[in-house]
Amino acid sequence: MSQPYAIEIRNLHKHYGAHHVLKGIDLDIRPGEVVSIIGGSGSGKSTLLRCVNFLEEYTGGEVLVNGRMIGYGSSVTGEPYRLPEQTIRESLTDVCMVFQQFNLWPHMRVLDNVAAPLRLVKGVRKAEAYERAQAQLERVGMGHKAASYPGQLSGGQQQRVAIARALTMQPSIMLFDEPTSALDPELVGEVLNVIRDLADAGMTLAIVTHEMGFAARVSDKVVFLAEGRIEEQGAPRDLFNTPQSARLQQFLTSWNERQGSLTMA
Amino acid sequence: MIDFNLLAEHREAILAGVWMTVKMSAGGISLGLLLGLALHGLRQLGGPWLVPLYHAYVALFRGTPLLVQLFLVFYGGPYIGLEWSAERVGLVGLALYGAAYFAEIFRAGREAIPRGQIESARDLGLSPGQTFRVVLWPQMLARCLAPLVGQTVILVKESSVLSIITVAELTNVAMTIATQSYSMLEPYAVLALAYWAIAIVVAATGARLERHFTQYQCR
Repeated sequence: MSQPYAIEIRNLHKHYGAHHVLKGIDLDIRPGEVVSIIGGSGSGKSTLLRCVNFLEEYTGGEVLVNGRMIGYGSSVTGEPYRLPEQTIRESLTDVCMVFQQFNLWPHMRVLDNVAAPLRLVKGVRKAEAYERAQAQLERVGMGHKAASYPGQLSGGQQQRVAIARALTMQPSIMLFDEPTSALDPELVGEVLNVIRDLADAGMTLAIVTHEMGFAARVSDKVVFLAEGRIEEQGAPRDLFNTPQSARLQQFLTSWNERQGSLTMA
Repeated sequence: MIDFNLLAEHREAILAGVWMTVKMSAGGISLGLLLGLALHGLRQLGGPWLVPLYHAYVALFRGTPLLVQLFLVFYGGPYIGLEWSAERVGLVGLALYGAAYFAEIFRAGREAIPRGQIESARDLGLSPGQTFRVVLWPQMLARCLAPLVGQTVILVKESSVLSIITVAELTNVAMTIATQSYSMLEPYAVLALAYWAIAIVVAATGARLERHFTQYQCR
C-alpha cells in the first residue's frame, strides 16, 4: 500500500444556508508538501482550509487527514453522521492552524500561551511544558519575550508566538490562514521567514496567502480558487508564468498592476 | 434637633438590622451569582429549548418589580402550599432576581471575547470545558467585574424592599423605630448612612479585584 496522503479532499462542498461556498473541491497534499492556496476574496480559500480542521462543518464530500476521516463517520447503511466532539479533536491532533488574527489569549503571558495547550491537552508537567515552550519560542526568535503579554508585542511578534504555540503541539501538518494579512508591511518578512524554515524542515504546509512572491518561492504546488472551485493548480512556475484560465490571468494581471503602481510611486 | 439618644437607645435593634441586611444581601447575591453563572452556562449549551428558556427567565425576572415577586411568593405562596418564612422568601427572591441581571452581565462579557480565541483553543485540542476555564473565564471575570460590582450595590439597596414582607432588616428596623418614636429624621439618616457604608465597602473590594484581574491589559 502506498503512503497515505497527509490531506485528502474529495468532492468537498460547503453551504451556508442557501449560499454555496465550496462547490466540489478535490485536492491531495502529500506528506512534506507545501501547497499555497490563492484566489480573490470570497473565493472560498479560507473556508476550504477551515474545513480541514473542522472549524467549518462541511456539508458534502469528505476530508481525510493522514487517512482518517475528519468530522463524520458512516453508519452501517453508509449514512454519514457527525462524530462526537472528542473524537474529532483526537483525529486532528496532527493538524494545527495559524490564524490571520493570531488568536493568542491576551490574559496569559507568552510562555503560558505556548505551554498551556501542552499541559492541558497532553498532560505534560509544568516544568517540562515550560521548557518545551521556551525551546519553540527560541526557534521562532521570540525567546526573549516569554514574560510579555501578547498586547505588548507587535503583530509580527504575536504571529511568531502563535506559530511557536502550534509547533509545541508537534503537528505533522500546519495550516496557515492568511498569516500575514493583518500585519504592517514591514513585519511580513519575519513571519514568512519562519514559515519558510518550516517548509525547509520538511513539514506539510497548506497556506492561504496573498503573498504571491512568497507562494512562488516556497510552494511545491499552487492552487487557484475561484467561486468555490479549483480553477487551476500546478507547480508555481507553470501557474504564475503560463496561467491557462482566463480567471487566473485576470487575477495575476490585477495583482501585478498593484505591485507596479507601488514601484512607480 | 437631632436626638442621638434615640439611636443609642435602639443600638441593638439597629445592629441586628444591619446584620440581617448583610446576611440577606450576601446570601442572596452569592446564590444569585451562582445561579446567574448556571443560567449563562445553559444558554451557552444552546439548543431549541435552553435559549428561549433563558430569555424567558431573564424577561420575567427583569420585567417585574422585586417587590411584586416577593408579594407573589410570600402572600400568594401559601395558597399553593408554599409556606416559606419571610427570610427564606427574601433570600431566594433576591437570588432569583439578581441572577437574571448577573447572567446578562456574563453574557455580555463572554460575547466581547473574539471568537478566534475559542477557535485557536479548539484547534490546539482544548476541550470546551478547558476552553471555558482557562481562556474565557479569566477574561470574562476581568470584563464583568465593574458591572458585577454595580449590580451588587444595586441589589444591596434593593434588599430594603424585604422590609415590606416583614424581614427584620435595616429598613424594617428604621421604620419601626420611626413609627414608635415619631422621629423621622434620625432613623432614616442612619439608614441612608448604613447603606452608603456597605456600598463603599463593596465598591472598594470590587476595585481591588478589578486591578488584580485586569493586570494583563496594562500596556
